[in-house]
Order: sequence, then C-alpha cells, then structure tokens
Amino acid sequence: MQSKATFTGRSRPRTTRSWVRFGDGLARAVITLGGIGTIAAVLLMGVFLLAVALPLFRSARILSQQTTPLSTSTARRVAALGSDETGSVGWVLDSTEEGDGLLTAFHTATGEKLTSRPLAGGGLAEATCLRIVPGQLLAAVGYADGAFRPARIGLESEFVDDAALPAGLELKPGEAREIDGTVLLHDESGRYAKLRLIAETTAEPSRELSARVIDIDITQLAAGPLLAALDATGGVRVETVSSRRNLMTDAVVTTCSGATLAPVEPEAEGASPALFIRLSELGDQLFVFTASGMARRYAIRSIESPQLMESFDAAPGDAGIAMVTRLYGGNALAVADTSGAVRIFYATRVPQTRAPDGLKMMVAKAFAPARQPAAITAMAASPRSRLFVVGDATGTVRVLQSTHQSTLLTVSAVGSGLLKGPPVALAVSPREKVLLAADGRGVAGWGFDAAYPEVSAASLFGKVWYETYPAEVHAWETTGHESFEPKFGFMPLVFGTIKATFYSMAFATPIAILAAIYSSQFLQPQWKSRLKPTIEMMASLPSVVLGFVAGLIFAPVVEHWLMVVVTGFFVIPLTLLLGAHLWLLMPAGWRVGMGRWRFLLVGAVVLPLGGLAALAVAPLLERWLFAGDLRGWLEGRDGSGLGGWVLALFPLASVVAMLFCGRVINPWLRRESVGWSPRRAAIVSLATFLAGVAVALVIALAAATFLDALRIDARGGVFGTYVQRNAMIVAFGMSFAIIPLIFTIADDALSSVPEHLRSASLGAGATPWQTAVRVIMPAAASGLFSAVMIGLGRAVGETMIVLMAAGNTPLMDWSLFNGFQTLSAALATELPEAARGSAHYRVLFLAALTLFAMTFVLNTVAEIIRERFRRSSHEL
Amino acid sequence: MSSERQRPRRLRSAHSNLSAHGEPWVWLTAGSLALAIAMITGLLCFIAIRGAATFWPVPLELVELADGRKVLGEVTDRQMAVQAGRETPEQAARRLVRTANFEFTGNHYEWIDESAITATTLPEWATAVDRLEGGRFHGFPRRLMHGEEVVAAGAEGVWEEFERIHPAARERYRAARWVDKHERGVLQRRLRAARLDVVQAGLSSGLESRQHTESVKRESEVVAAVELEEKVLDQRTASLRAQNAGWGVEFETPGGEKTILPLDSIVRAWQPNRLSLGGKAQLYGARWGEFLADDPREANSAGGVFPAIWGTIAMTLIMAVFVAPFGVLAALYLREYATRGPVTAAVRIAINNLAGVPSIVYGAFGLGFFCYFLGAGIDGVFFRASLIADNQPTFGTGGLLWASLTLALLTLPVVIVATEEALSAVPNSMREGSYACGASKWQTIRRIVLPRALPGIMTGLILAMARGAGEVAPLMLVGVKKIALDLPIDGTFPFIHPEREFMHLAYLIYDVGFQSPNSEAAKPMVFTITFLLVAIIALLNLTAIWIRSRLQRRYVAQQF
Repeated sequence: MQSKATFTGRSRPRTTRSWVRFGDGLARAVITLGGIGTIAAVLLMGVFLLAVALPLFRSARILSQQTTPLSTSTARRVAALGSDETGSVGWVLDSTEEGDGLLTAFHTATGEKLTSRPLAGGGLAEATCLRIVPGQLLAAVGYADGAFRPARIGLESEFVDDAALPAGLELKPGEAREIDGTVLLHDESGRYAKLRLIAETTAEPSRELSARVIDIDITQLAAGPLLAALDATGGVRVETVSSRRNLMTDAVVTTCSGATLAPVEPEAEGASPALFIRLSELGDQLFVFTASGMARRYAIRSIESPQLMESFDAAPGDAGIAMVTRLYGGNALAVADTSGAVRIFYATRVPQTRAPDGLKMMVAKAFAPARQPAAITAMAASPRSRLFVVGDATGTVRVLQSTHQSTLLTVSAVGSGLLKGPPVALAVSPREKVLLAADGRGVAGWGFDAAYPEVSAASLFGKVWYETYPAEVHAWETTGHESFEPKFGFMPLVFGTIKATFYSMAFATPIAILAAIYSSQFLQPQWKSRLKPTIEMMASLPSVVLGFVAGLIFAPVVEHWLMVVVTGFFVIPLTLLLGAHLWLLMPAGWRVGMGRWRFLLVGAVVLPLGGLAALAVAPLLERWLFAGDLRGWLEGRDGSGLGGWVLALFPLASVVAMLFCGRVINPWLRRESVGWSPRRAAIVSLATFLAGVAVALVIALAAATFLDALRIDARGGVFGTYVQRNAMIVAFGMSFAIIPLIFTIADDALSSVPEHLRSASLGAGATPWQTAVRVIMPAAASGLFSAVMIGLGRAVGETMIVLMAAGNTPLMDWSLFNGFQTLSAALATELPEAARGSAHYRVLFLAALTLFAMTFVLNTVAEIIRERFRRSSHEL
Repeated sequence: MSSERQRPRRLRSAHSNLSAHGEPWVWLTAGSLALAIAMITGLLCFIAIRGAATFWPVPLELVELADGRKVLGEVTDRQMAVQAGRETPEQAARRLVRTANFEFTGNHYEWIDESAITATTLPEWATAVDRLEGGRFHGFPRRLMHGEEVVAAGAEGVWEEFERIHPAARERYRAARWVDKHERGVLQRRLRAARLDVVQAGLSSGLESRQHTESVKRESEVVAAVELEEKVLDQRTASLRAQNAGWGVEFETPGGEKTILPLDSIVRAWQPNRLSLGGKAQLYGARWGEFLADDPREANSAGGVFPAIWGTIAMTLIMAVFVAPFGVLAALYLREYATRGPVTAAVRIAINNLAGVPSIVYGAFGLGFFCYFLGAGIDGVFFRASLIADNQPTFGTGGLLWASLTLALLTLPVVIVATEEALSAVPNSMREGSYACGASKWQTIRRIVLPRALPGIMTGLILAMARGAGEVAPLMLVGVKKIALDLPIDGTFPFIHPEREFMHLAYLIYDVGFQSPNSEAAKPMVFTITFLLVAIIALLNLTAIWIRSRLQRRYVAQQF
C-alpha cells in the first residue's frame, strides 16, 4: 500500500492513520489470543480428564523411613502396635519378661519418643494374651487362669479449639509435642488434636475357662463387644457383653450371654491342638484353627448355641499355620503358613456344600512367599480397606491387597538396618499412610503412599473374585452395604453403553436412513420443505423430556401392550409391503393420478392400519406362540422356547425368502411375464409376496422347532424376564434423539449427489427406485456412513434418557427386556457423591475420559469420511 | 433386485417388470418417514395436551361402590385391563380416580373396576382443595369455624363466607411468610457477614490485632441490632398469624370423616361441578399464574416453578454472555486471521467433534476443573473465613457461575461453527471492496463483515441457548439443586450471586418425575413443566429459524 509507483504512473502519498493501525494491531492481537485461547481451553478438556484419571495407575511407593529404639539394653516383648487416625503418632505396648508393661507414644515421622505410661494396675499388666482391633481402641486380654475381658488400648483423639491451646505454642503441620502426659498434634489439615494414651480394661473378666488363655479375639457389635477365647486345653468360650441403659431409672444393665465349646477330640483334628481363634467382623462366624492347618467354622448368630458348620484345611500342603488375621469388612480371613504363603479365605455361598448354612470356606486368593520361603512372623490388616501387611522371618515386610491379589510394596526391614530381627508386630495407620513394624528392640516406621490399590487396569477390565460372590465376576458396585470392598469393574458399564447404543441404533438407523431416502428421492419438494424442519425440531427436544416420556409414560404403556408392540415390529412393515402390492393392482392411470397423495396414503391410512393389524394379530400370535401369556413365557413359566425362536428367526427367514425371490422367482417371472397385462403382473406379484411371507414363516417355524428340539432356549439371550425399564424402552426414547440427527445428515448427503447423475440414470431407462438404489446411494455411501457414525456418537454419550429409562442396574446380559447401566448414567448419579480425589472419583473421571475418547474417535472418523465424500461428490 | 443384472436385454416392456419399480420398498421408506413424523408430532401433541390440561378443572365424581364405599375424585384414566387368571383372560374396564385425602385413604390414586361401581354422581358442592401440605383434599364443606365458634354452616353459607374472608387470610399468610423467608434471611446474612468479618480479621491481621478487636465490636453491635429487628419482625408475624389462628373450614369426606382445614393452609378451593365455563377459565388462569410465579410446595410436586424458571433464565443468559464473545473470537480467528492449512483444518475437525462429546463429560470436567480446582482455589484465597468458620465452600462447590461456564463450554462449538458459517457466507467481494477503499482489516471486519454476519451469529447463539436451556446432565454435577429458593439473581446486593446453587426446569422434570415419593400425583406437574420447557425451547428455535430466513432474504436482495 505504501509503494510509491502505481500503474497509472502517479504517485499518491497515502498514510494510514496511527489509531487505525493501532486498532488493527490490537484487534489482531485480541482475536488471535482470544481465538487460540478459546480453542486451546476447549481442547484442554481431554487433557484435564486424563490428568485426573491417570494417578489411578500410579504404583505405591515408600516416602520416608525411620526407626524408634525401644530399649538399648534388653530385648522387650512387643504385644501390640498401632497409630492414631492420621498416622502421625504411633504407639507401642511392650514389656520385659518380668512384665513391667509400658505404653509408649512416638512420632512416626521422626521416630522421637513423645510420652509413655506404665501398665501397672488396671488388670493389663498380668495379661498373657492380647488382641487389638486395628483402628479402634478396642482390645481383649486373656489371663493365665482362663479369665478374659475386653479392654481399651491405644490413642484417644480429641480436637482442640485454637483458643484452648497453650499460649505461645506453635507447631508445624505434622508436628507433635508432649504436654502434661498427653500429645498435642497439629495434623495435616491444620487442626490441633489432643491424643491421650489409653490402657484400661472395661469390664469384669469372664471366668468360664479354666486353663491358660492362648488366643483371644474381639469384635464390636451394635449392642456391645463380642469376645471369643481359646484356652490351652482347646476349650472355647464365646461371650457377648451388652449394656443397655434403662430409660426410666437411668441405670445401666449389663447382660452377659455366651456359650462354651468343649475341646474337640484330638483324633478328629489330626492330632494337633487348637491354636488360634478368630471371629468374623460381623460377629456371625467363629473360626478355630489348629497348628497343622485344620480349621472349624461355627455359626454363632445365636450366641447361646454355636453350631459347627464345616471343617476345612486352612493350610494345604506340609506347612502349618503361622498367623491368622481378620481382614476389614465381611468375613474374610488371611491365613499365613510357616512357608511364607498367605491365603485369603471367604465364606462363600456355593451350591455343593455340606454346611447347613449353605456357605463354604474357599481359598479366594493366594500370595506366594516373598523371595525365599520363610515363616510369617507378623501380620496386620488395615482398618479401612482390604489392605494388609505381613512380615516374615527374613525381616521382609510386604504390603498386600487382597481383592486384587496384588503386592503393593516390599521392604526389607532387616536389610535396610531399621530392625535387628524379624518383625513381631505390624500396624497400618487408618488412612494408610504409615506402616509400622516392631521387633524386640525398636519400631521401624515407613511413610508410604498406597496410591489406589483398589483399582488397576486388570481389575477395571478383568474379572475379579469379590467376597460373597461364588466366582470371578465383572461387577460395578461402589456404594451399598458391601462398600468395604468397592467393585470398580468397568465392564458392566461399558457393556451397558454398548447395549444401549446397539439397540438404539438397530431401531433408529433403518427408520432414519429409509426416511432420508424417501424424502430425498421421492417426496415432492413442497412436502419436503415442511416435513424436514419438523423432524429437525425433534433434534432440539431436551433429552430429559425424552427420558421422562420414555421412562414414565412409554414404559408402563409398553408393559401393558407388550405383545402388540412386539407384533408391531413385524406386522407394520408387512402391512406396508402388502399395501404397496394392493396399490399396484390399481389401474396405472389412477396410480399416476393419485401419485401426489401416495405419502399421505402411507402415513395416514396404511401406517395406522398396520397398527390396528398388530392390535388384532397380537392376541392370536400370543396364544399361538406363547400360550397366551408373553410375560409369563419371558419369565420362564412355559417350558418351550419355540415362540421366541419363531419371532427371532422370522426376520432372518424373511431375508432368505427375499433372496430366493430375487434370485430365482423374479428372473423366471420376468421371462414368463412378457406380454402380461399390468393387472396380471400385479396379481402375480401379490401372490409371490404372500407366498414369500408364508415361506418365511415356515422356515422360521422349522428352524425354531429344530432349535427347540435341541433344547436350546431363546430365553437367556435376547429374551429374558421383562423389566419395566429396559433396552427396548431406551431404544425407543433414544430414537427420538438419533433419528433426526441421522436423517438430516443422510438426507443432505443424498440430496447433494449431483443432479446429472440422476438425470443420466433416469435417461438411460432406470426407474426412480433403481436410480435411488444403484446410483444415488453408492454415490452418497460415505455420507450415509458418516451420518450413522454421528448418530452412534450421540447414542454412546446420551445420559438422561438412559438414566431415566434403563433402570440403572449394572447387569451384563443382552436381553432386550432387561435394564442396564451406562458409563454416562453412572457418571451422572455417582460423581456428585464421590469424594474428591478418591479412587471412585478418579474411576468416574476415567469413565468420562472413555466416553470422550469414544465419541472423539467416532466423530473424527465421521468427519474425515464426510470430508472425503464432499470432495468425491464434487469431482463427480 | 440384484437379479436384475441378469435381465435379458431384449425385454423392453417396463410394465411387465414390476420388481424394477420397487414399489413395496418405496412404500417401506415412505412408511419410515411417516413413522418419524408421527413420532415427533405425536410426542409434541401429547406433551402439549397433557401439559396444558393439568390445570383445567375436572369434574369431581362421587363414585359409589358395591361394597358401600364412596369415593370422590377426578377420573384421570380409563383402561381395559386384562384380568389375571390364565385360563380365561377377560377384558375388564377400570378407571383411575384421583381420590386425594391422603390422610384418610392412604393413597392419592385408586384403580376402580367398573363392575364394582353402583352409581356415579356429580355432587354440586364437591370441593377440591389445594393445600399447603398433604396434597389435594376432596370433600364437602360443612361449617366455617373460628375456634369453637361456628361462623357459617351449610355448604352455600360456608362458601359465601369463605370467599369473603379467604383472600385476606391468604394475604396475611403470605405476608408472614415473606417476612420469614426474606426479611429474616437478610438479617441472617448480616449476622453471618459480621461473623465472617471477625474470622477474616483474625486470619489476616492476627487474633490480637486492632482490626480483630474492632470487628468483634462491630459484630456485637450487629448482633444487638439484628436482635432488635428480629423482635419487630416477630411481633409482625405473630400478629399476622394470630389473626389467622383458629379460622378453619370443616369438610366432610365422602367416607364420612370430618376434618377442619385451617383457613390459611388452603391455597385454593373450588367446586368444579358448579363452575361455569368462564369460572373454569378463570380458575385455569389463576392456577397457571400460581405455577409461573410462585415457589414450589410439597417437594416440588405442587405450587409454582418460579425459582426454576428464573434459574433457567439466569443460567442461560450468563452462559450466553460467556459463550458469545469467545465463540465469535475463535471463529473470527479461524476464518479471518489464521492461515489456512492442515492445522486449521485439524482444529476445525476437533471443534466439530467437541459438539458431539457427551454433555455429561462436560459436566465431569466442570465439576473437576471449575468447582474443585478453580473454585477451591478462589475459596482458599478470598473466602477462607467462610471455609474455616462454617466449613462451607463458597465457590468450591456447584453454583450458577460454574454451571454457566460449563454450559458455555458445551455450546461453544455450536457458536463457533455457526459464526464461521456466517462469516464465510459474507461474499469475498465485499471484503475486497472494503480493502480497495483503503480500510484496514479490523475496519473491514467491524464495518463490513460482522454486520453482515450478525444474523448468522445470532442464530448460532440462540441455538446454543436452546441447547443450554434443555441440557441437564452436566448441571446435575455443577450446581443444580432440588430446592433452592434463594434466587441466584435477586434484589439484595450484589444482585447477582454467582456462587449460589439454583433450580432448573429441565432438572425439575427429572427430579419431580423420578425422585418424587409420589410420582403418580406429581405426573401432571411434570407434564406442565415439560410443556413449559419445550415451549421455551421451541420458541428459541423458531426465533433462530426466523432470523435465518430473514438473513437469507437479505442476501438475495444484496447480492452484488
């Protein structure tokens, strides 16, 4: 612009005013920045989803380690080990051989001792046997004379207001200090807590056993603690102590009830005495183990009369039992043997069991020994999840996860010099941040990050054996009563998504594509200009409206008229075909004259007639195929699978009949029909059609009889028990969303095939139908394909319709009449409740990422194909 | 069809070969199109009819049953049911009667077999009562009571008196409620603000500082002032309530039970069997008025949906405010500034794709990024006091702002694509003409391109708003609440409250239809809400279509 010479030869001095130039530059900067920023922000979404989901697959790691010496001179006997809720402060209960027990609190991050108190008095010092429940203050002690009682041992925590803090005290987060015999802790969340060392017995001892108590267990039930003790002679006592406050007198009434089990004859138990006793956490099972590995399970739901349910071998092989630990939740036990192997046992409901309660103890998981076989010396379960730790005689400590049978961490306590000998006690802090191991001389502590042990690629997509399930399953269950073992199996959701997509597309695609063919090839333009916006209007209906109509209005109606709806799928297309054949019977002149009204005739007369025909035929069909009761048949009340097979095979048989007609009958007819009158040709054509339907029916019936004779039932596959909100309802609701989408794009693709192709085809003598099928559709094939892909993308991610019409049960079966849950529905219902940063939250983000990726791929493929179609149709 | 490949060439006669015309298949395609049309028109008509009919007063039928029971209610459905009994399935007619009177009948609706009915009458004085709580009531007015005193007796007398005093009683009730809800709410907010000031002062300048002591003093002043005002309000509400106390209408149910409904708990009462057409129309209008302007009652299954309408409007408008400039900027950049190449093509495909990403994914992103990341960050910097004192996030949870932003992201591709199309529809000759006159690029865009493209951009924006107004899946994650009577935009400073959770029409459909304890009774309400929502969205779409057609006409006229 600034060049002086112009082609006229005159030079014209031109300057751009500075504010114009400034404005231009500013606009360019703002638009470029804003534009790129906006696009980047939108694209960043995928990155953010990935960033939230990825930490799921992080592996566990050790963050810090230290050790706290217990005594410099003599080895002490460590009886119990634990920590407070946060894991910042640990405690250890130890004693010398003389019995001067000491409860010591120490800082786990530095190993510094904070405070300690002696055990003298209170009945704890004399105990010969002690069991603590991790994560709770609950404990039980047994004595040499056969007495035992519940106790409270550990750190009691209580939040302190900032105002109540001693003046001038300033602690860094994570720091702890001793003040007047208690520990003041500034926890990670910024609050101060006062921790008090507790060691006391809480009830009078029970004296039902006479010999020395060798093992004891306790669990907290709603009414009070439940205790079980085993004495040296093999006698067992279970006892529950329940306290009830009398509302009138305010007096506390304590009732004790229980039962004593006599020692089992040694012969029956492989000549080895009972060594361990364990209660299930729910307090309904009691397990007694012998050293050799034989175990007995008692049902103690009624505490007065324990019943022996079964005996099982808890340590198959030569090794004996070294340790037994109850895992968090349910009734799972971890049994470690002297060779270092650990097995997880569940009481699982199996059909072939001799136990009266139908349960059987099964080895659900097995962990091999660490490196070399060495007896397990200590074991402890996490109080919050199915995580547990084991230590063996070589001084190796492993952190294991029972649900997925994975080893998260392996540390060598002796090798790294933190401990002098094999660990005798272990503990995991409730928040699973700190791991403690003690030998007689010191306590080693590791700060660790367990990452997300409940999730792994294998557990997301593979089958996992969860407690209470008889075998490995794909399961999605994140809330509810079995949340102690969250089930993050993605497959049911992915399956549900695929099922919803499949059935919706199977219903919507034919309608949309056929409708697009008609509207682009046969419909008069003045009709089309009105009908197309009407269908496009359907696209803007909110999906919540569709979900409401499908789930609340349509579902009960279909349930009531099920047979009519099922019949309609067959009868309505047949009515249309029949109508066309009858139409051909009319004189050609009339047909041409009424051609303009053909669509109206189809829409307003034949279609309703088809509906009426379905209404009329349905009861007949139901009586003939399903003994008059389709619902009953679906529920399996009638033995024969014949009816279902006929229905399922009829479309297939029709295709066979159609092919036969097209390959054999039509060419033959063509040769024969030279010179026939149009009327005669139409009559023959009608007869062929009717014969074709009859043949199809016969083929379907024959195949169905054959399959039925083979005892293959149609139920269990596509058919199954009818649930009100099911795949068929979803397919219907979703079709409102997909049909307009596919229709619009397909119609555009078909209409934009160059007119000269069509003209050439018609000019060469092809009928409009032949032109549409052989010329237009191949030319628009990629456009049609991209239409279907975009419809698919919508179906995959649709949320409200499946949420409201699919029943939200994460099942995996193909039944058309059963519900399911999709990824999107799980996101919508569970994400608001998932705690930020938890495994559940991240798994749901993974679901979002999966949906994002699925639709992104589908749409990109569609877009690229559409682009190619545009180019190729341009070239035509 | 495929057999035609083997057609002997000598056959020229068209009429003899019917399969070439494929008439049956054409009929099948026509049938599909007709089915699609029937589905959409059927659905729209169904929603329109059911939605519009909800508030039309229906006659109350007194149905006497063979077992001597009497039921008074609206007949809402009739059905031919197949009786159980597998050997001889027989058709039996039955009707669904809205019996109301939940406290006596234990349900709101009842299926009654026609065969069990001995007589059906339309009693003149059968009265339908909309109550504040407990659902609909059907009965006959007997006496008008004031405490123990009988003010009027007999249906006619009661009704005359009722119509005289009821509006005033309702007015007093509403006034008292207004005080409770709004004026007390203002006081509570003042208290909270003062309390948070104290915490904030303690946080920023330390517990011993002058600011802290001053704020403590201020707080005590506020507390004292608020207490005084509370007393005044207490007196006002107490006097309003005292005037209403004791007034009640005694009704007799068809079953013979007598019950007194407090006057101010009666929202509306009418005798449908007595009403003339004009009266019915008036009642219909009044009930629509209540629906559009009032707060919901009874877990959203009765009353109005004003907060939801307001929430929907506020959310959609704020969304439009966000989406318009950014969408236009991005489209301008792509169309006018970016150099054409594989990168822009890829970006364009990516944006087209984003229009197909499921809305729930945007919701998850909104929750994770806006609420938990941005919001928590904002809380940590600006709203620590609230976080510490009440343990309550301000922006760290769902709210109007985050919902609007999430939906803005969701609709951004729609606006970008529409704007791009509008920009590319502006003929290049116009741009070149502008350049030839010496205009700079920005001047050309501002004066020539944007004005021509504006209708197209508006169309895109309106379509985006239509999509945003109907989208509910992402909102469930980022701030929509079942009940949020505090409006996100109201008359108290600072007027727009971007952190507040809000109600939304589309969510209300899901909530009332699926989460309501009594879904049958809530169904008419859901239909009305659906009708309203579909009407709003159809209106937006029609506006877009209208603008588009105007735009097309203008271009025809202005072509060079």
